[in-house]
This record gives sequence, C-alpha cells and structure tokens, in this order.
Amino acid sequence: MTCTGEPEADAPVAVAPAPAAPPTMRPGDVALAIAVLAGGAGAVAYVRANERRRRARRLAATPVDAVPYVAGAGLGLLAAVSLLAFHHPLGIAGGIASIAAGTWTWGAAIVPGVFAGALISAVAAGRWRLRTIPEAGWRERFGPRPALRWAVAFAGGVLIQYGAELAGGCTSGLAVSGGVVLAPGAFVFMAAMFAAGIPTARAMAGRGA
Amino acid sequence: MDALVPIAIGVTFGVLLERAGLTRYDRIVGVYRFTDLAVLKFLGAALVVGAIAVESARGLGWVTTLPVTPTHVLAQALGGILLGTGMAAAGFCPGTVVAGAATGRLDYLVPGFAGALAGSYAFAWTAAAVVPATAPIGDAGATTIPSALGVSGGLVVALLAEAALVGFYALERGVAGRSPSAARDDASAIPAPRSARVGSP
Repeated sequence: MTCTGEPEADAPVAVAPAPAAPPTMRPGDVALAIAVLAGGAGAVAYVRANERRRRARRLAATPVDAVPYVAGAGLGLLAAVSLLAFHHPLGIAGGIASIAAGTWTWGAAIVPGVFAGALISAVAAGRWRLRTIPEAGWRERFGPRPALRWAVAFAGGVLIQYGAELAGGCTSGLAVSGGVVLAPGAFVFMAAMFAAGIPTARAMAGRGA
Repeated sequence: MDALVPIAIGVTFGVLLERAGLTRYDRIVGVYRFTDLAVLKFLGAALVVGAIAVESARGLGWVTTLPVTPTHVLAQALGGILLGTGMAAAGFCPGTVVAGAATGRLDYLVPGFAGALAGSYAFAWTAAAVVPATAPIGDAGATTIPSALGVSGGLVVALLAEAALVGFYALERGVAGRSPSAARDDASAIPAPRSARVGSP
C-alpha cells in the first residue's frame, strides 16, 4: 500500500550518502572492473593466440607428404640402381620369404633396411605414433575396436605375401622392378592388382561411401 | 660390406615410402576407391623414371646384361588378383607393411607381418602343386615388350613416358578439378594428425 511512497521517501536518503562516498569509490570501481575485464579478456586472447600460434607451428612441424611424383621418381632411380649395379630387383616379398624360411639373403637384408628407413623418417618428421588401428579411413566404417582390424590385417597379410610369391614379386619387386625393364608380366600383374583391388575396396567401403 | 648395400638400399626405400605417406591405410585404399591417387602417381613416376634410367644406361653402353623379370601370364595375373585383394582390404603391400610397422602401427607389425609370414609358409606348402599348374601357362620367359614387338627399347620408353605425362596431366587437371576428394592427396596430411590426436586417448 505504501510501496509507491516509500522509495520516494527513502530516495533522498539513499541518494544523499551515495554522492558522498561513491564519487571517490565509483570511478575506482569502474576502473578496476574495466581493468579486470580488460586484463581477463587480454589474458584469454593471449592464451588463445598463443595456442593458435603453437598449433600452427606444430602443424608446420608435421611435414606434409612428399609429392608422390618426386618420391616415385626416387623409387624408380633406386630400382634402376639396384638392377643395373647389383643385379637384384628391388623387392620386399622375396626378403619376407627368406625370413620365413630362416635364410639370410640379399632380399632379407632389404627388410630391416626398410624398417630402419621408415623409422628414421617417421621419428624425424614427428609422425611416429603407437597405434592399434589406422588414424583415418577405418574407424568411420568399421568402428574403434581393434579385433576386426587385426583380423583383416592378418588375412590381408596372407593374401599379399601368397600373391607376391606366386607372381614372383610384389608391388616393388615385380610391378616396378619388372616394369622398368619393360617386362610384360609386370603390366599384367599391375592390371590384375587393380582389377581385384577396385571391387574389394568398393565392397568394403559399402559402395556409396 | 656385402650386407651394407642391401641395407642401405632398404633404408632409402623405407624413407621414400614413409615420406610419401604410403604407410597410411587410407592412402593405399584410396587409390582403389579413386579418392587419393598418390599410389598411382608414385608407381607411374617410378616406372617412367626407372625405365628412362635403365634405357639410358643401356643406350650409353654402361650395362650389357640386365636381370629381366620372367613373364608367366597366368601366375602373375593370379598373384596380382590375390595381392590386389589383400592390399585393398588391409591397406598395405609387402613393402608398406614393413615400413608402416616401423612408424608405430601395431596392426601392421603384429597381425600384418604375421599374416605375411603365414602367407609365405602357405606358399611353401602349396608351391609343389600350384607352381607346375600355373607357371607354364602364358610362360613368355625373360622377354621384354620391345623385344617381343621387335621395336627399339627407346621407342617403348618414349611412348610410356608420353602416356604417363598425358595421364598425370589429366589427373592434375581433370580429375582433381571435378572431385575435391581427388585433390586431397597433397593436403590430407594436415587433418590426419589432428583427428588422430583427438581420437586416440
């Protein structure tokens, strides 16, 4: 009932002390608030910018893949040198077969070499990372559980090695090393690889993907 | 000393595979789905540059004998089918399973390499039956395309190089322009580490 009257009555009382104390306090409060807000915003902006800069630097430090043409040209020269200077095709499957048979051959020595080279390259590039499934392309389709991936990897390992030994070489030992000397079998092999690989990849991707 | 040469060749090979990103599952499978053609470019460049190097060395008289891979059409077609199937399913071939294992991939190191060893044992067991049945069919011996056609090696290499250059041009212009996923091969390394960081706790 007196709600409307009371504030008016109190107002002078409330206003009167306010100009007395706040004129000194209020600008300070505002300044402090502004300082705190500005400082906070500045700190957040600084941390954000720092984070962004650090992420940019980290991405820059993770090298982009080599241009495939350049790396491929290197492989072609390496295969030519291996054939011309040492009379050995540049292959891996033969080396794996030697290791499986427990014999030490030229090809078997290539295998630890490839392991060491890829290890050095990955560590130097900051790309070495312990993983149980691929970082891209697998999880989206088949889920995060390693069991299925490991089963497919085992079956794939059997197929690639059996196929390579039947054909007399793998992607590098037959397709590239045979291709650079223009052996027709290398081109038959490559055509068969793609003829079988394309429908397999399609089927595993669920066609539409 | 004798062991150092193949090891050095292997180290160079391993660096090339890793630097080209061919130790990644998605990159190998991508070539069979036409979403990432790096493998095709890598193989094409290797064939053209290697063939030019071999033909030049022969033309200059630096080499007189050359180990020519024998051609057995049936065995190589069947082997290619098996290897292509396994490679498209698992995302590696004999070279990249070793290189990938070295980059910390346990699926390459443990089941992948064990599978390759098992495949080698399986071949050793079955070779006595399989090889005599397949090797004689389409056996052309250690022949080459130019010797089979009766033309000069230089001509075949020049045609191969020309076809590859036209193909590379088409890949870079046509395919990359039409579908954005085909152009991904040079940029895919950037998002890959990030998603890996988020996804592997």
